This record gives sequence, structure tokens and C-alpha cells, in this order.
Amino acid sequence: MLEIKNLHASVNGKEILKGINLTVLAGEVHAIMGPNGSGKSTLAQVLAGHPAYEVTAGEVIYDGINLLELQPEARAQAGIFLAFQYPVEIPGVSNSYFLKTGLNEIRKTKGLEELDAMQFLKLLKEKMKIVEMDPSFINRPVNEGYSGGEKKRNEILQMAILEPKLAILDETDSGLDIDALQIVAEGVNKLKTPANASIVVTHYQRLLNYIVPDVVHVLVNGRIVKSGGKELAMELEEKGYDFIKDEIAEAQTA
Amino acid sequence: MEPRHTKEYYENEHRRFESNGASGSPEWMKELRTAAMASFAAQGFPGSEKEEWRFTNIAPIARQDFAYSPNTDYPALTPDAISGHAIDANEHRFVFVNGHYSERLSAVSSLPAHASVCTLASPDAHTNTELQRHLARHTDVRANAFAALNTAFLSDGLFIHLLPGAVVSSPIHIVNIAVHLPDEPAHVSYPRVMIAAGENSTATVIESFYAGDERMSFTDAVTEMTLGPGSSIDYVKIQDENLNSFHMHTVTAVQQKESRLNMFSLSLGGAIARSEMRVGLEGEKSECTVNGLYMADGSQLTDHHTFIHHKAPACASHELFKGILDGSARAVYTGKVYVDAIAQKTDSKQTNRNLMLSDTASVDTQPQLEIFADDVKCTHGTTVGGMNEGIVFYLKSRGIGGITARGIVTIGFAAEATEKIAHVSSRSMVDALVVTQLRKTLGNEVPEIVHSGKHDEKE
Ligand SMILES: Nc1ncnc2c1ncn2[C@@H]1O[C@H](COP(=O)(O)OP(=O)(O)OP(=O)(O)O)[C@@H](O)[C@H]1O
Ligand SMILES: [Mg+2]
Repeated sequence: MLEIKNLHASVNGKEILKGINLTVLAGEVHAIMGPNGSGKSTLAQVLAGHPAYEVTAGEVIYDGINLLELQPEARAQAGIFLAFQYPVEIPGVSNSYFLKTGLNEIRKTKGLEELDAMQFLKLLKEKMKIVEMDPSFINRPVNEGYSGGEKKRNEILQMAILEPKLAILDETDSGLDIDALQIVAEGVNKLKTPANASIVVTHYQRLLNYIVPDVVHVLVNGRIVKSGGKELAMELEEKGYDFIKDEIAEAQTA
Repeated sequence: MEPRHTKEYYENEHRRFESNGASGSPEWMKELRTAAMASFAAQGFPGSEKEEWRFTNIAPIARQDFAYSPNTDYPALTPDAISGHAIDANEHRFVFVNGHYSERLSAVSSLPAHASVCTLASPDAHTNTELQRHLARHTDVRANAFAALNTAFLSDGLFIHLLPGAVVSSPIHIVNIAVHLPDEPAHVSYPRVMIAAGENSTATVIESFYAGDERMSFTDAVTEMTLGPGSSIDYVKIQDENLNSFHMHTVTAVQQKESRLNMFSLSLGGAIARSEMRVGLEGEKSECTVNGLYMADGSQLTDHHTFIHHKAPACASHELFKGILDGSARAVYTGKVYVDAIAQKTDSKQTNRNLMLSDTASVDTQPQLEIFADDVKCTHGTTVGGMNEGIVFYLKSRGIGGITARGIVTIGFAAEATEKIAHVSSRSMVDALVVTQLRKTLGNEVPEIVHSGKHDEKE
């Protein structure tokens, strides 16, 4: 589904990703862990098409197409979804309008009929129940004045409505209470079909109790220095990044 | 330079006015007019050599011979048509046609105790000593040709008199309409409002300005208010005339101790639309917020000129003006905050933000601070830029791009200004006008505005 080959990316002339190689097959869940500032969000943003990041080398093939050539909105329409580490506030614009517009844009490109206000409201209420969000959020401005956890839930709500093929969750578990953590996990697990895939960026093994990853990667200094099964996350939690210090040292000096 | 004949034209008009319609005015009002006319004749219309008018060339106003008309009888104006401008179901609506009160079009229910409203042309106004004490006393006509001209033609308008303790819970809405019969020449009107708010009184006053047709017209308005100790006034101005309108409005407020004034100005442009808002914080611990939103496209010009004078200690002034400019529109924002030496503990913040939707639109923004006290907190900032990139990318990542994203980002920008309007139904009206305006250029997809305070579920 997704094949990242030797991906290099810079921001403001500073190289952040220094040769990422990663293959995600349909049906898989991949977890990415790694110290602060190692480039996890950069990778996520590059995949979503953030214009501030310049790809200087490498390629990304998504579903057989060159992803890097697509505009960000075309990537979303092609089924890529990024749950932001820092969701953006949009004053004045209601959550329901925002979600409905996004969904209908995506449906249009799929050749599906657009949902009208009634149909959408029904869907929205259904999905809000699943992520346990109060109906008052329907008509509140997007993310404005939401608590940290409410913002993260709102990202999951968007994911649940847009039903992406490839979901990238950037620390969606940070700042969540235990209940919300389970809701996030459920959201990801509901999406899990043989045709879909997820990349979950997290600092905590805790989330991986609920979302069981097929592969865990450790990203250090712009490179994936180690990959393994779900035990790798457990080991990291127990021993810290020290336990792969040789790999880290190698990445730092390279 | 202004054409030589302009002054003479208005002097002649003024003579005609004095000999015709204005005979009913009391002597003290006539004296105000005579002095103001002399003042206008002495200065003439301001030229762009004047600092305050550097960016706003009013030659198109001076060039035109606008006619004064006392007519309020226009078949197109019906109470039903006017009610489309209603902001609040319970509002006291005073309708002025070309500057003259129309009882037929107004809808006024009885006011609470200690509050009274009358037109300046009424006997009640003519004998009111409080009105006499304040009317035209707070606006300096020697430094303001447009206020001078308005005062030279002073005969009608509205006097809102709040005695101490008066609480007017339904808003007082003054609707101004500039309109013509097909064979009438372009009109000038001189709307005038005086608000005298006694100690601890409270009211919401809305002044809206509309055009009843697509003709050229010139509205030269003056609003004055005095806020007694502890009084509280919410004031909302809506200017939504047509592309050929010339609009000059001077708002002057004088605040006594612990009074609170919350002003908002929506300007939707015109050939030239200028609002000058002046606040004197004269009593300690008084507070004012002066906020606004201006939107213009095509070749329109919108101009806000604010002057906040801190004359007493521990007063606060907060100012946020936002502008959305498209086409070849021009905007001017000049915000001056002046802090006297005595005004210690002043807290003042002034912000002007402009969203440029086209490369050919332009803005001249000038926040100015003059501080003569040493223990103050004063900040100002101004930005001119394109759409918020963070929001744009967030939208794109949800599949939303192009003009739809433009509409959303622009609404987000506008909402941050309109959320400052405390009076809820005024805010809804302003929001609706903003959306209507944006839909003209960005299409019907532009969403309605919602605010965080409003958590009710809307089906
Ligand atoms: N726009 C930018 N300008 C300058 N530096 C940037 C920019 N964006 C990212 N960086 C830098 O790139 C590095 C990687 O950042 P990134 O956000 O990808 O880290 P991360 O692995 O997600 O960290 P965290 O775990 O703290 O979220 C950091 O050193 C960061 O400061
Ligand atoms: Mg990050």
C-alpha cells in the first residue's frame, strides 16, 4: 500500500529526514516511536503534503501512484488521513460544516453522491456517539477552545467520518485520559480491514496494548534505526532508548 | 485642491436651508448651526496634504453637488421592507430617511422608566437642558469639516436620554436609509445622534446605514455620546450602503469614571466610507473597546480613524480592527492612542489585522502611540497578509482546497472580529451580512459563522 524509499526531507534548508525506508502493506498497523525531535511528525506531515517540507531525495509510492506529486487535498481524496499532533483551530466555522465539506469533497472524487444536511447529521451523530463526543460539538467552531483531549477526539471523529485507507496518527494518544485512549484505539481498530492500513506515532507502549501493531519502528535522527514486533515497544518502555544505544550512536554519527 | 465652488455651494445650500425647513429649531440650535457653518467655510473640505487625510482623497465628494432633501415619503420604503433590517425582535426602531425621522416607518414601543428618546426636531428636544448642554459640545468642528457640515444642517436626529439608573434592555436601533425618487438629484443627508447616559444607566444602541437604491449619495453623520459614572453602553455601527455611496461618520464618546463603552463598527465599503471614532477617557477606571471589521472589493475605499485619549488614571482601551480586502479595494486604518501624563496605570492594546485576498488590494495601516505617563501598559501591532497557512493545510488534509478553503479561512478571520460584539442579535446580524458579502465573491459554499459561546445544537 505504502512504500517509502530513501526519503530525505528538509525544512528551511535543515535536513530532518535522512533516508527513511518503510513499507506498509494493506491490513497492517505500524507503530513509530522515537525521541523528541527525531522527525516523526515531519514524516507524517511530508506524507500529508505539508508545503513547508521539501523532499530532497527518495520516493513515496501509495497504491501504485507517486504520492509526492499529489497536492495535499488530492492525497486526502485518495484516502490518506493525518490526525494532527497539534490540531488547528478554525474560529467561526462549525465542526459539522467542516466535516461535511471534507466528506463531500472526498465522496465527489470517488464518484459518490454528496450527502445532504440531514443525511450528514445522522452520520455525524452516529460517529460522535462512537467517539463519545457531546452533541454540542456539532455546532462549535472547529477545535476552538477545545481541551487538549477534546481536540484529539475530534481528530478521531474526523477519521471515523472520512474512513481513510491509510490513517496516520501523530501522537493522538498524548494528553488523553484512559477512556479516550480506548476510544482512539477502537477508532483505529474499527478501521482495520484487509484493505486499510495505519501508521501510529506514539511515545507510549500503553496505546499499543489496545492497538496491536504488526511492526514497531524506532526513528532516531531522521532514520529508522530499528524495526521489530510489538515486543520492541515493550522493551523500549522498560529500558528506554538506551537499550538501542548502539543503533542510535550509529545514526547520530552517520 | 478642492474646487473653488464647493464651499460656496454648501454656503448657498445652508442659506436656503435656514430660510426654509429649519425655522422650527430653537435659537440655541440655530446658533450651533451658524457657528458650524462658519467653521466649515473657514476650513473647506480637507485635502490630502492634511496628515489625517493623506490616504483618503475626498475629491469625488467635493466635486459633486449633493442636494439636501427633507422628503421622507418614498413609495419603495414600507414598514415591511424596513423590517428586513431589524436586528432584534424587541428593538426600538427609529427610521431616518435621508436624515429625517419617519414615524410611519419606525416601530417604537414604550421605553422603561428613566429613559426617553425623542427626535431633535421635537419640542421635547428643543427644551431639554441636558441636550443643550451636550449637543455638539464634544465634537470639535474646527478640526473636522464633515462634522462641521453636519452641524451646519442640524435640525433632525435622535436624542437618547438615559437618566441615572435607567436600564434599557431592548436595543435602540437607528436605521438610516439614503434613497431617491428617479427624478431627484443625488442626496446628502446629515444623520445625527446624541446619547446622554446618566450614572449607572445601561443601553445598547445600534446605528445602521443602508442605501434604498443603487444611486450615488453622501451620508455625513455625527454621533455623540456622554457616559456618566458607572454607565454602560454597547454601540454597534453597521455600514452597508451601495458601491456609489460616500459615507463620512464621526463618532465621539466621552466617558466618566468607571463607565464602560463597547463599540463595534462593520464597514462593508462604498465609493468612500470613513468612520472616525474618538473616545475621551476622562474619568478614572473607565474602559472602552473599539472593534471593527471592514470588507471591501472592487474599487471601494474603507477608512477607519480612531483616536483614544487617556485623560485619567487606570483606564483601559482595547482595539481590534480586522480587514478583508479583495479586488483593487483600498483600506485605511489609523489608530491613535494618546496617554496624558496623569493617566498612570493605563492599559491599552491596539491591533489591526488585514487579510489580502488579491494582489491588487492595498491597505495603509498606522497604529500610533503617544505616551506621556511612565507607568502604563500599551501595545500595538499590525499585520497585512494572506490566508492562514496552518488552516489552509489542515483543510487540504481533509480534502478541502480551492475556493471552498478560501471561504472557510476568510470566515475564520472575520469571526475573530465579530465575536467581540457582546450584543448577541447584533452579532448575528453582522455575521449574516459578512457571509452575504463573502458569498458574492467566494460563492454560496461560504459557511455561516458560529461562535464558541453558542453551544446550542442547531438542527
Ligand atoms: N518548520 C520548522 N522549522 C524549523 N525546524 C523544524 C520545523 N519543523 C520541524 N523542525 C525540526 O525538525 C526536527 C524534527 O521535528 P519533528 O516535529 O518531526 O519531531 P518529532 O519526532 O515529531 O518530535 P516529538 O516527539 O517531540 O513530537 C526538530 O528538531 C524540529 O525542531
Ligand atoms: Mg511530533
